[in-house]
Amino acid sequence: MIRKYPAPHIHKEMNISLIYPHVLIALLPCAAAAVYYYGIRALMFLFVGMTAYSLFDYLFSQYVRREKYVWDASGLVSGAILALILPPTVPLLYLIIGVFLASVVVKQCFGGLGSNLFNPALAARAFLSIAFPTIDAAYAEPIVSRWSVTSLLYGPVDTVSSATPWISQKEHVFELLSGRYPGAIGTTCAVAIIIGGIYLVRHGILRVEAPLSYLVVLSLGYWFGRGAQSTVFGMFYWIFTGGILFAAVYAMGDYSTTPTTKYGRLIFGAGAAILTLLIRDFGNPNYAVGFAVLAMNITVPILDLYIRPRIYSMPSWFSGTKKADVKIAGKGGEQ
Amino acid sequence: MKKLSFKKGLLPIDGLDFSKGRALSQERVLEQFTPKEVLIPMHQSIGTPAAPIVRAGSLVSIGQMIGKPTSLISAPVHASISGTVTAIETIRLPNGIECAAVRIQNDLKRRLDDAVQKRSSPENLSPKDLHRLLMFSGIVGMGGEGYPTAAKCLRARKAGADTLYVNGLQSEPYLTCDIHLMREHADRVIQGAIALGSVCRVQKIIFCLQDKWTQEIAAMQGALDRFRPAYPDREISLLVFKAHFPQGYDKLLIKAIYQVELKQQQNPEETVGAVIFNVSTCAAFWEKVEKNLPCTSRVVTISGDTTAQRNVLVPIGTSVSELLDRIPGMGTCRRIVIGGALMGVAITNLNTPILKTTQGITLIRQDNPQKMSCIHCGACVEACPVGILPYLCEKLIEISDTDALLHENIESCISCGACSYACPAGMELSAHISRAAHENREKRSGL
Repeated sequence: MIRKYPAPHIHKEMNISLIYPHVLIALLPCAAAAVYYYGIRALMFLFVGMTAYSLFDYLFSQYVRREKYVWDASGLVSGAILALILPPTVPLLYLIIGVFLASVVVKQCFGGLGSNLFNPALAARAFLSIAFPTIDAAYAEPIVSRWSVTSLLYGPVDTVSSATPWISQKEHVFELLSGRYPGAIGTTCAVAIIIGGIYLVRHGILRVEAPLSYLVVLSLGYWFGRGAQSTVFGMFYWIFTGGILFAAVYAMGDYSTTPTTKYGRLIFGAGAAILTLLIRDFGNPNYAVGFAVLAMNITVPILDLYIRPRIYSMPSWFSGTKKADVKIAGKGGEQ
Repeated sequence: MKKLSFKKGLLPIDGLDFSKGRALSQERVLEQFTPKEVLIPMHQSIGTPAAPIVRAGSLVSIGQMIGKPTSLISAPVHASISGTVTAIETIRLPNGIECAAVRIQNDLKRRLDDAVQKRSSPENLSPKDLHRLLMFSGIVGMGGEGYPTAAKCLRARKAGADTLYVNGLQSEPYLTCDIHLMREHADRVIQGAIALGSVCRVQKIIFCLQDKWTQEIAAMQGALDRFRPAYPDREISLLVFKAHFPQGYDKLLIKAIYQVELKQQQNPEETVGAVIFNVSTCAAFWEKVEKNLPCTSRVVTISGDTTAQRNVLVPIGTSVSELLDRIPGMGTCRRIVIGGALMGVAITNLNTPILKTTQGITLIRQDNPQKMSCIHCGACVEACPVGILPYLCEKLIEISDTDALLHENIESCISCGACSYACPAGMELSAHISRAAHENREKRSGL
């Protein structure tokens, strides 16, 4: 009964087998909004995305015979996120292709959970946008055909052409908060995303640095870019639409693809915001969020290595043991 | 009141702090434990072990010296119970050191040694007398450091230290023996600290407490106000610290107070002129000054997630199995830890004796979480109080890249266990990193 263990002997309650179920719970409001707006189609998307993602994860790890396969809910989370960031008109086959890409190519080929360089869901979305450009030109009006069987099989009929065409001089505060406008199925409802984000922060899962710096730099960019025409409503319109809020909570909160240090995450968020601003203003706004986050994902290993806490009793964060010292110590050891 | 703390690498208290107020306040009385026999190891401090000066069959009484110091950095060992010496054995202590140990059978008479008698006017002793008393008291750093207190005082006097800190920051969860002493025996702690101050020729005496012990802070402030008129030439005050782990660690304490970071070879006496003593050490010294009773027993916390909090006065050398005999929750625990739950050593041999440096015994039922792969969450980086990147070091240890480990400053590791505690993947970061750091340090000192 009494066994030998290394210290420490107690551990934090929040471990991996709890973190991902908590993220799933945080995704519930978004999923509920998606089902409310797009009905059975959204339900099917979520179901297919989550099951297919877990299945691909499992099959691949069996195929490469990774040691000691431990199931965790991260597959369900990534599958749900990928399902939520797609437009409702996307054919089911595309979704499965995207899930395969996210699971096998982006996540498992890099070493599985925690080792992936890119955010799986966003990478798959980016791939789908490039490979099948039509999906970005066909968003659907919400609520209209949510329970019809044809919409389940072929997608909503009445499509509109751009991501967020609803734009007018009038301030539609209700639409902005509830997300009742054409867009990706789960990313339009600002209230649901904010509820999920607050839930994650309360449980200590979402670190606020990256999302905050992302949103703050974006709104600053709005005030500077628009100059005299800027309004408070305009700013909220700017950061609540186009999946920015969703990316701030669920892509900036992803552990594997964001830096480990506080300042690293601040830089990560600010960099992603600047890229988003640039792509929105000068490029294709459909790609603004996804590609900005993916581009910053590449910088994470560098940010991890160079933006680090200062070592106790060392003068600055990088001048720890000098290379020369290391060499001398190594030589001494050989003699 | 301003609360001090070290800035970086704080570990928030969520779920860590099981020993918060409520459970403790029920346990007011300090019980005295009487063991059937004791096994007193000769090596209870840093430095050379003491040499046994009794033989099997000799009759000993409480406070009689049974091991005499062998060098300047060494502490004498005294019999903690009265009775007959049955054997002198060789045992292995939890930290891996082998040494001689004296086994004494208790005759249950509680005979005190002839030298142990109440002093009539302990306040009038000169610093020189006090230092001699300290040298023969066998007191070592009772917070777990184990540095002989007499040698530390000498070092402080040579370095010209001007401030004495009484470390009552027991930041380990479950452990409360120092807090208990401060509340129940505040007078002894304060007088002991003042006596230690006169040994070190220090005028300023500062008590350090965590902000979560509000009752104790109030009690200490009242006691300090009582003592100030009696010692007009001393500056006695109280500092309150934020409750963080590992705040009780010497280097982080100095950083919180002086904003100075000590290098590996530096000690606080020479660098900032501060000398730090544990609460238990002060109380033990007052026993010696007042009653001429050397260090024969200490307060040990018995706690954990299977049992209620209790503080027991235990003679040095009592075996863990005897002490835990009647503790409820003993049967359901998975491991028995000497020390706190975060830095303690899990023992398999229950005949291990209680040492002068044993702060408590923690019974843990909680099992290690499922081991998984690192998810790169950075919880360990935020928890590390010295600022190394534990997840990176773990990867480097896996590929045994020693040069890169040196470059990552792995030698700064203080083995506090915060990284493993915070890790959601259940990786044994702290164990691996502190072992690698130890190997590195040995390699460097061997050069």
